[in-house]
Amino acid sequence: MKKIVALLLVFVMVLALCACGEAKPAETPVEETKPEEAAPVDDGQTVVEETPAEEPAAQAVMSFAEFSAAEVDAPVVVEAYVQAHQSWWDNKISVYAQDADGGYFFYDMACSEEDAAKLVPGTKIRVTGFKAEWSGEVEITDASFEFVDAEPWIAEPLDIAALLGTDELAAHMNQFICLKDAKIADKGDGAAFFFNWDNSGEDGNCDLYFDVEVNGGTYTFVVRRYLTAPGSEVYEAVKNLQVGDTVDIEGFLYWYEGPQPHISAITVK
Amino acid sequence: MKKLLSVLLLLSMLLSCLLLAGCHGRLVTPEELAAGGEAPAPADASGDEAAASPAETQAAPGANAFAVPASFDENKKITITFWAKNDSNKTQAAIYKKAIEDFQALYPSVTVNLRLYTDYGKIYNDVITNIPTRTTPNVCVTYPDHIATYMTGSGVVVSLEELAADPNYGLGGAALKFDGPSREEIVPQFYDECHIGGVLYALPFMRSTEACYVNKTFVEKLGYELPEVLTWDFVWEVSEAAIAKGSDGKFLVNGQEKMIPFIYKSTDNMMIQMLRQLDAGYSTADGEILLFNETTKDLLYTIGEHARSRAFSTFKISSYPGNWLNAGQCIFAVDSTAGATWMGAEAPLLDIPPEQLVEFETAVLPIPQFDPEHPKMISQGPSVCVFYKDDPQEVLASWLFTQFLLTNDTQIAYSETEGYVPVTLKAQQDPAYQDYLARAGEDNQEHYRVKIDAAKLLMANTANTFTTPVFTGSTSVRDAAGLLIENVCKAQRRNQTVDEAFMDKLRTEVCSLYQLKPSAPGWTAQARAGTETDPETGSSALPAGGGTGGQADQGPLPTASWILLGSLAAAWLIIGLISGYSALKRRRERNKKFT
Repeated sequence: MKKIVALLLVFVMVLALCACGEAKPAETPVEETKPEEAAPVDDGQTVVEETPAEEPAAQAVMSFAEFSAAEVDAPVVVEAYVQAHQSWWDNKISVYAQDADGGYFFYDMACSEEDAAKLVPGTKIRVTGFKAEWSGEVEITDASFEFVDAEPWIAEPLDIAALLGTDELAAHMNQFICLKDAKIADKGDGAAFFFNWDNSGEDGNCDLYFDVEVNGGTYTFVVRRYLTAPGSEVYEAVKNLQVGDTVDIEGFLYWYEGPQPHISAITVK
Repeated sequence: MKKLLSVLLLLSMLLSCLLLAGCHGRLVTPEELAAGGEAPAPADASGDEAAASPAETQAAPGANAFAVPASFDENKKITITFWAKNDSNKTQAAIYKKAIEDFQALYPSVTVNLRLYTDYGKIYNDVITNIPTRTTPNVCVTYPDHIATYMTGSGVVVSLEELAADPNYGLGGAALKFDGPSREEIVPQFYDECHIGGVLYALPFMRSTEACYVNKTFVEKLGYELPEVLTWDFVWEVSEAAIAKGSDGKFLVNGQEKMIPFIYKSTDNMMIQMLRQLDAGYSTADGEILLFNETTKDLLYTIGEHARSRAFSTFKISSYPGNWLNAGQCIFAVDSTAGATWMGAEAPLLDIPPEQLVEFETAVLPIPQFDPEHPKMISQGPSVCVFYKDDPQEVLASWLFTQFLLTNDTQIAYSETEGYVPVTLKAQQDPAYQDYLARAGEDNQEHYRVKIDAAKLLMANTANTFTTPVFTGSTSVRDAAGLLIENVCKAQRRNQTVDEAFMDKLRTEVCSLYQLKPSAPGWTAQARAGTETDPETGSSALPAGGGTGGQADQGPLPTASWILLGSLAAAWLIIGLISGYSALKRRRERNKKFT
């Protein structure tokens, strides 16, 4: 009897030990706030998530030309191949995507963490949402998506050297782009880059901004921390830039009151 | 055998104690999650791990009183952490650093480590995350709404009542090494805003309100005369007039292809102020939510109509009002007075290419009113709170630094970075600040007219400002107020039907999202906010993503918890059975002896 009691006690304690295993909260955010453009002023409260608006009625998949011609706020459906995405957060994800004709940015698209893991570059998805424009960036918001069975496709980077400073550049918004032999310009006070747009940030808690000189013009590029986080090869490489360095850059042609690419790779020559 | 059994029982009890202690959960920060669950780095801007060890120094939850030490021990080395927010403004960051240097020069035994944020929400998230692990900062720039949530974990935020009243180290105290403000020298309205439940839990740091930055040139071009105080009717009327297009498809008023006449940055403020101006319900101090009322619904219909016509839009839908204003594509841009340096054709800070700038005269007016004779506008801006630590000297050092932020040098310098107003009368009346105000328009940097006009607007209207009640969950109500407007505007722009059915669905969705609990269906019913923070652990049930919303549904107990509770119950049951069996056996043996 005593042996049974002792065994029971041990068994109970083992069970209790198992129960105490700590699981990470599945919904703990990877990011902290709405990842949008550099915010010059924020005197109010934090930006919070919104409930998705009414689902657009079922409609045919649009070509890139049809999407481009659609009015802002129109319901849209497109198919495109994932090229990269920002970090998943709160069942939402922002995706850079492309097809043979043009680029897309799906902002805060509804997405489970499980599906986010499947959004690897090359994956084809069908996205249903509304066309929007925010500070010049044309995107799809309040969107949902489904996977499309297709061969993976990765876009070749478009060299934008000849397009910088021209009106034609906007037609390539959100596409995978590259720039070769660009010279790092003085961002201000002799710095090759800024933490945040005006150097008000600190290492690790903000995006990095740097300027390059191409064909006599100066253009701003951004290391978006939700795309290439602090500690990543890109983030650290930009922190080591020097004014006058010659670099090759790859990234996505994001727009904020003008071209402001989010870079995905940089090589110092 | 009995000995073995006793040892086993003892071990079981010890294990139970260990398990109970170990089962105390903790939040995992985003950084930890990204790093695979590693322990968080010290909340220390310098990264110097030895500099601050908050986990060792913070009082255990439950401490709820703080006795002011008789004297400040200047022989003791103390390190405090200060989490501050700047508006993506490096001048503000520099002012914090200078304040720290000046303070450390006066109190060499104290080291202040600064950690800068550009978002109040991130500070809030980080504080909430660090409460269970007792790694909060010592001093933190924050909002009263947020403090209310911090306070649901007991012994987290220091009541400043005794500290403020202390004759030596209190406001204007005799032992202070700096010329801090007395109680009477803090603007009463701003001082009162820092009380929660009648107790002082913060000091105001800066104050702002919202202003309507107006393209006066376009208003007059449309044939209107700008009143001293805008009314909503006037703004809607001019905005609708401004969307007229010519045969070339361009807007007549600006000759451009883009024009949104009226853009509001913070739609939560918009709804809150409209309701207050109409004396309609929003919330009460004890957490009663009156937001979902018929007046709110009527306002949503009106706002939505102008969104459908494209006379009105919001920051979330269309971007920063200032960018549109400066490009001559907006006439009424409502934003914080703390954003004044971005407003106007000659603004010192610009976010659009210079070639897009349009020349126009900028007027700075109070937000639109329903009753211009009795204007009402929100008071906002950061406050500073102090967190509990075990060492009273550390708390006292934190309090001294908090007061130092209210000295004239810091107050005046920081307020001049934007359209902020110093929170002390002492600073407002300082000749240096008066000189600054008098020189409005002398240049477009330090004395940028729009910025100084924005500060003057608040000083002239301090008596007309108000704040909303603070309680656990009040942040959720605020978020809900903004979301109502955002979703109605989106629906209207997308040509969706906005009718009673839409409104009912919207109300249900917003209540669900923020866990606001209506007492009955319909727009006349009242609701209550959920509890955002577990009062036992101080842990937050924030919506994932770290928004400042309300409580996410906790749901049923997880299986593991049921197993644990069941196991403990079983263990006690077995112990009871064994004890009973032993007692019975002893009694039988005793009976045998006597028989």
